[in-house]
Order: sequence, then structure tokens, then C-alpha cells
Amino acid sequence: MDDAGDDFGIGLPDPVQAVPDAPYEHASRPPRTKFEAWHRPRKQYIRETQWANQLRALMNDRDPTERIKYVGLPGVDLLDLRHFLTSVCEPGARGLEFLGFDLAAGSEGPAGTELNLSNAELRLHPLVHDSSLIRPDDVRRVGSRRSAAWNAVKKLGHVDVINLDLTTHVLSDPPDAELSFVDALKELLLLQVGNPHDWALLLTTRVDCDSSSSETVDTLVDRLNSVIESCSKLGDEVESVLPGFSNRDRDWRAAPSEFTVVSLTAFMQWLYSVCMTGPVRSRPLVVSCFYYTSFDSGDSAADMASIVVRFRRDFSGFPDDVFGKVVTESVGLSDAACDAFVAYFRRFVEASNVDAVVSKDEGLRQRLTADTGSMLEAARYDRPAFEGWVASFAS
Amino acid sequence: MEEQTKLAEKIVATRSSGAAIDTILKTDAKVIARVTDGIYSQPASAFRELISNAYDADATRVVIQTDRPRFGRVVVSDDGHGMTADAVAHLIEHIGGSAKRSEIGLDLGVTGDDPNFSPGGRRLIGKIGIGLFSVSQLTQSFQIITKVAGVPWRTIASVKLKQYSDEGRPDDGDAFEAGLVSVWDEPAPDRDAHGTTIVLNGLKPAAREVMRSSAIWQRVRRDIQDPPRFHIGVVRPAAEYEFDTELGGDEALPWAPGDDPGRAFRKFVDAVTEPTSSVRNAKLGDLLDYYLSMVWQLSLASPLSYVEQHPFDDSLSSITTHVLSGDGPGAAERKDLNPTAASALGWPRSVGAVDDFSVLFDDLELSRPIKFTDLPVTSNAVKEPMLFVGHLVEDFEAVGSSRSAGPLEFYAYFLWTPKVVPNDHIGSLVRIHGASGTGFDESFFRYQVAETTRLRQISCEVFVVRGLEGALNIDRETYNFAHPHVVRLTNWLHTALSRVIQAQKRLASEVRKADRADASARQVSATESLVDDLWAEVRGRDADSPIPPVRWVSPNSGSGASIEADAINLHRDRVLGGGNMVRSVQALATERKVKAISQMLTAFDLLDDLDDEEINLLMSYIARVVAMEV
Repeated sequence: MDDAGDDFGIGLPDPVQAVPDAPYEHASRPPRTKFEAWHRPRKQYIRETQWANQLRALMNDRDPTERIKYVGLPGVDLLDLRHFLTSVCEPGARGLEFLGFDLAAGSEGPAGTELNLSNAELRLHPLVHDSSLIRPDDVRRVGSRRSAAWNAVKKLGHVDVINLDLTTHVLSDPPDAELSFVDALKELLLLQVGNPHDWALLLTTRVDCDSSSSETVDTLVDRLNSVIESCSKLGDEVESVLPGFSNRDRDWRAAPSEFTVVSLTAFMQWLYSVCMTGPVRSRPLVVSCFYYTSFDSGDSAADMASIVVRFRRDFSGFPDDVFGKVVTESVGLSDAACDAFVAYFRRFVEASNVDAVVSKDEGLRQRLTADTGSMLEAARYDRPAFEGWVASFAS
Repeated sequence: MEEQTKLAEKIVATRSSGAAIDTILKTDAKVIARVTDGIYSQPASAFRELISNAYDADATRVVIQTDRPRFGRVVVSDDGHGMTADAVAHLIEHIGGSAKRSEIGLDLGVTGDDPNFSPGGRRLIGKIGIGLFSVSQLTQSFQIITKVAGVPWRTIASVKLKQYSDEGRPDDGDAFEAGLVSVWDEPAPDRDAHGTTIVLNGLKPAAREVMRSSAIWQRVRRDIQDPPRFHIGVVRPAAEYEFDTELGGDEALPWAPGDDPGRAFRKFVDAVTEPTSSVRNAKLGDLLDYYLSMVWQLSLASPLSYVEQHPFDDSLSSITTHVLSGDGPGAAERKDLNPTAASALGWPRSVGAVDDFSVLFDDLELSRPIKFTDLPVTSNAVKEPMLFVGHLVEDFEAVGSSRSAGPLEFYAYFLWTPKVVPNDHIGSLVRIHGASGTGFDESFFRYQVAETTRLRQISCEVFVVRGLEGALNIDRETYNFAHPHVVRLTNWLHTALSRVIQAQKRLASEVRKADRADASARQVSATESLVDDLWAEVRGRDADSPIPPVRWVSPNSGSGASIEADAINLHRDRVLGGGNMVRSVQALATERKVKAISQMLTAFDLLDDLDDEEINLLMSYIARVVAMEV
């Protein structure tokens, strides 16, 4: 948007621009019977098994008066935050402070209204901290240190959980894109790398080839290949699963599952280098990974992943050439780095498909459906309508 | 009333229908229609009204969140009693006709048994029917999300205001369409929760520009002025999500990220009220951008407690205290008020202040930014601040309430201090039941006596506990000056001011006599003598305002606590040039002359509107003229 004051020189907008552009019409009430992919039982399984469990583990040894700090994309109905409140915060009366990003905030449509309403509900919850806020902003703007979004995250200080619950691929933006999730993630990691407490990155992302930027993926996989050359353990491990990959003879893009494993391992290798190269370091560990198939992909191959990365402050690399021994790891070469990459690869190879887990266990599916129904009811959705909608899904 | 009842019934029906009721905001007079279009002069007024509404709703806390520095959206949340569907229907059907202070307020749950009090017993300060629509200053689209305790429903009203136009307006008596409303109830499992959230969507471009301080940054871009010392950053012209780091950096704030909001606000107040070597005239407009100035003004206007202590509840160990006695008041009597003014005089504690209400504005928890300790030191003969306190009860028994509008009662103080910092606190500020619609009135309700110097050394607050409210105009920012309460208040204020000035003059005269005795032994140069003569001629022999000292500042001289706030700070290198060279006789003469000229200029207050940068620029050119060979 142009600076409206330029032409007039006194900081006031052009009179034409000063006319609000929104139409003069009645607002719409947000629908209570429209459901989304994240309302399915399998997402509840992820919320419970991955997210809430990880958060409990993170906060287990922390003082009960310390509140959970969250940065993320909670969606307009704030379901994830509602779940954290009921499953993690309320049992121990632990506070929650959140900074969310959603472009629907401030908009006048039903999504904006839904967000306003959900935000108003949560703000009256006694455990929600006053400064909690949903910014009308694209989280990718955190990738620029000049942005107000980056500044807002910096002001929040170290957080306990970053939840990037994406509906697209974390590698969807080309390397030279003005806005990219990778840039945003890098800045988030750099702001978090000195966090003295363990913290978690909850990353939900598409993992299919079509949703990703081939340039970005190639750049990362090239880097992975160079790491394999100096890390025989990783080379052996990859070769045992994907014969010919090390010689670059294998078309790992052709099979969706191979693309997923290779691109995610390459992504984690990049993430490791961001967090473990500077003097202040945090060691990333993939503690959990699930795959599932997106709503519109039918019975085709899994194209979504939900990954939990736990970070632990690593004090080994701080340089002190006067009183201490300088310990510097060369990323991709040290045994620790090599072991980490092997672990990432194994985790992605062995990860379960949550659709299969839920659909095979009817009791589990029913419980998850009931839990989701209760949560949606608390978020003002029409529960009978939900039960009708969800009946058509196996997971 | 019938329309209101029907609307309330329709709102209740939305609980099962899943639909919304679409209706029209109607007003029945042009003046009320204009309310929705903005009678308020600044965006700050809208925030002030929303805070007042939260207070009147018995909230203990109101949280205002912006996405500064972009200002696309504002959310104001409180934990007050909220509004029922009936109350929302009343609001929609009676814009400008507040249910507060009326019989139906009790039925709607917005007042107690006495319509002048909230259900929780607070004396009401706002008029919700008008105050809520003050948001039209900021936006034409907003949402009200409100809930009362003990019910499983929330009421949502989505309002779209219409731009007011003289064209096509109805004749008097016809309804005017002021906007559109969609209203409905949503289920609320948090049965015990209560409160109201106002979401301001899509702020008007003009309001955004004001809150972004665009006018200030335009001048900075053109090198007409320096950036404010403290600011929230400036957005880039072509990318409003980013700071213009080349122009103003991201932010320059006197508090640190992560500071507790209360501590952050105290740091803010300290930074503004502690003069430094580089600020001669600490004005909010020079120190702060619009946003920070607005927050400051809101903290002055809102029903809050003081950043330190209420002056009547403070021990005031470094202040000389006087009591303004009599209804006139007749005299200002020197009296130690131990341990506090309130206890010594039998006055209520925290009069005009509120301890059970807090306002969180982004990073800051607001409190009144007025301090009575660590006040600035100047070269004035009287070093110690003086506090004058008074109380008036006027029953108007002789004229009856129909002519007088009932009794008037207030408490007040006048703080004389050699230098009021910031300048904006010079004057009188009237609080009615703890709230004020204005900042300090520099004219002291149009005080006509020519006491320019001393009036600029006085800050006064009046705490009205009965009356005066009827004298407020609809914007709650100005008064009807013909109202009997305003006339009586003005009369008392002006008389009290003259007592305060007389008392200060007496003390200053005594101190000055002693000072003159000390000074008589000192040799006075010809230029000093000229300055003395000019000051005496301009200000009078008894002028209390002393000739300000000139302080020559070098790059190595730090700022110390003993810096006099009225000193003229001249940068030796900038004004005289020459660096650290040994100074010649001619250079020393130039220095003396420049010093004298700067003091002569201040005799006419000619330097008061200049910042230090401008003063040094001016004096550097004068020095060059002075130094020229004849």
C-alpha cells in the first residue's frame, strides 16, 4: 500500500483513499455447520498424542506459576489453543500466553467474526494471559527482521511451543520468494536458539512433491547429498532404504513416500545447521512424526506430516579461547550431527500413518469423535451436524 | 420501547434459528446522527470513551490491543458485567439515549438501584449510548461481543456505520439511518464468564495515519524535524507491515521488551518527567509520537490510581504544604500535613482516584503519570515545591436546585514547582468522579491576571465528587461555561490561584532578600548588569522567575542529577566553534556576550518554543555576528 500522505505532505491520507473500502452491508453470522479437515478425529489424535503430550512433558519440571508461551497459527476457531487449555493448562492451573497470526483478524467476513468471537471467549478464560493476541498478519513476515511481526515475536521472548499448522508445504516457497515459511522459521529458530528451557516446534505440512518448490527442495537435497559424503552412517542408512540414492541413480521424486522421507530429512538437516552452527545452539530432536492423507486426496498416498521437534539448549559450542576449551562442531561432519541425521531419517521412514491408526481402531475413533464433538460444541459448532458430517470419515 | 422489546425477542430467537437479525441503526435527530459520525476531535477520545464504558460496567480490568505500528485493528476487552440481549437492543434502538442515569438502567442491568451508580456501586462516568459510538472516530465497522454472568449465551452485534451527510437528511422528527446492525446470540458454555469485547475492524485511513504519527514522520523525512525521542516506530511507505528502519528504527521506547506492564509504565513516566541535559522545554509533542502522547493523555484522563502516591495520601516530605481555607478560599495557610493531607484534614483516601480498575494498553499498564517526588531542580530562588490543598462544598441553598443544578463539592490541589515537567501538565485538570475528558487547561478556566511566569509553574487537579457533570457538553471534553457549577468552580479556582501566587511571592521575596545579601559582595560584569536590567524591566523587580543559567556543554560533559531544568544548554563547540583550543581574550568576550544574549532572549520567552537543537543553531549564528571584527 502506498503511503497515503505523500502527495499531501502533511501526513494525512488522500481524501479518496480516506473513504473506507468495505461495502455498506450487513455482516454475516459465521456458520455453525461447516466443518474442516482439522475437525476430523485423526487431528484430535494428533492434538492429544503428539501436541498435548509433548507440552505436558516440556512443562513437567517447570514451576507451576510459569505460563506456557505459544506462537503459532491457531485457526479462526482457536481449537488448538482451546485444547491446550483444557488438556494441559487447566489440570495444573497453568497460564497460557499466545501470539497467533491470522489474516482473518480484522477482516469483516464470517472468518473474521469467528476469530473475534473465539478470541473474546478465550480472553475471558482465567488462565489466558492478558497480552495474548492474534495479529492480523502473515506469519511468513516473521522472516524479515524489519517487520512488525518479527518484532512482536521478539518481544514475547523465548516461547515453549511454536505451532506451524500449515495447510501447504513448508517448502512451498522458492528460495528467492519475498515471503517464505523457511525464512520465517529460520528467524523463529534464531530467536529461540538461546532458550534455556526445552521447547517444541509442532510442524504440520504438506509433504507431496506438487506442493513444494522444486528449487527449494533441490537445494536442500543437494546439501543432504554432500552431508552423506562425509557421514557414512547416514549414507549406509539411506542406502539400505533407498538403494542407489547415494550415487544419485535413484529417482526419489517418483515415489511419494520416498520424496517425503528425503525432503523431510533434508529439511531437518537444514534446520539442524541453523540451530547448531552459531555459538549459541539448540539441538533439535524429532520426537514424533505422523503421516496422513489430506482431505481432498482421497485414498491416495499420504501427503501430510505432523512433526514434533524438541529443542534442547546445547552449551558445548560457546567459544572461549581464554579460559575454556573451544568446542566447535562442524555441521554435517561431527558424530553427533551424523547421529542426529540418521535418527531423523529413521524417524521419517518409520513414522506411522495416523489414518491407519485411527481407522483400524473403532473404539479409538469413537472416543476421538466424542472428544472432538465436545471441543467443537464448546466452540459453538452444531454437534449433531458434526456427528453427521464426521460419520463419513474412517479417520 | 415496543421496538426495543421486539428486537430483544428476535435476538433471543437467533439462539435456535442459527440466523442473525439484520436491522437498521436509527437516530431521530441530526445532532445524534452526527454523534455516530464523530464529534470527537482525536482518536484518543474513542479510547477514552471505551475505557469509561468498561469502568461503568464494573470492570476491574480493560485490555486494549493494537497491531501497532500498522493500526489495522484494535480490540478492547473488559471483564465487566456485560450486556443482556435487552440491553443490546436498547443500545441499537436508542443511540445517544443512554440507559445509564435513567429508570430503565436497572432493568437492563447497566445501573444499580440508583441510576447514577453502576450495579457494583461505582459512580457512573460515561454515557454509553453516545460513548460507544465515539469509535466512529476510528472506524465505520465494529463488533460488540458481550456476555453477562450465569447465562449460556453471548450476544454479538456487528455494526456498520453510515457516513453522515447533510444531503438527503430527513426533516426534524424523521428517523435518520445511521448504520446497519446484525445481531444474534451464540451459545456460551463458559456460563460464569462475563465481559464485553469491542473489535474495531478496518480502521479509517485517516485515523491510521494519525495513530502512525504520519505527519511527524513526513517532517522527519524532509529533515524539518528530528524523530521524537520515544516512538513506536514508523511503517515503510510502500510496505506497511515493515518498519522504516532507515527513518526511525523499529522502536525507541523507554521500557524493555518483557518488562512487566506496570514497571514499563513507570519507566515511561520517569523517562518523560526526568529532564536531561538536552531538553529545556519538555513537551510531550516533542518527546513522543502521537501513539505515546495518546497513551499519556489516556492515563491522565482515565479513572486510575497514581503512578506513585495520591498527593493527599503521600507523606510529601520534600514539599512545603499549605491549606486553602474558607469557601473563597480566603487564605493560604502554611501547615504541615502529617502524616498525609487526607488524614490531617479528615478527607477521604484516594479521592478522585480509583484503585480497583486497571487499563492495559498494549505493553503498558496505565496509571496517572503525575509524580510528587524527585521534581526537577531549577535556578529559582525557591527550590522546594509548594502544595496548596483545598475543599469546597457549595449547596446553593439560597437559589434551590432547579436553578443551581444541585450541590457542588470538590477537593483540589495546586502544586507550585519551579519547572513543570512535562510542560503539558501546566494548568488545571478537572476530574469528575475520577475521570477527565481533557488534559490540563493551560488557561486555568480563563484566568485573566497577568502572571505568566508563575502560572507556568503551577499544576492543579480538581477532584469533583458531587455536581458539575451536567455542565459537561456532549463530547465530555468541554464545559458549558454559563452553568452555575462551572461559574462557582471558576470563581473558587481563580481566587485560590491568587492565594497560591501571593503565598509563593511572599516566600520567594524572603529567599531573594537573603540571596541578594549574599550576592552584593560579588563583582557583576557589564554584560551581567545589562541582563539584570532587562529582566527587571521585562519581568518586574519582584519577578520570581530568575535569569536562567547558561550551561556550556562539551562532548565530554555528562548529564548529572543536579542539572537545572531551566538552564540554557549551549554546546560550546557548536556555538562558539574552535574545539579545545586555548581561548583568546576575544573568544572569552564572545562567550560572555552570547551568554548574555541568550538570557535576554529568554526574558521574552523567545527560546521557549525552540528545542535544544534550534537554540544552539540560533546562538551559533549570533556568536558569529558577535565575533565579527567591527
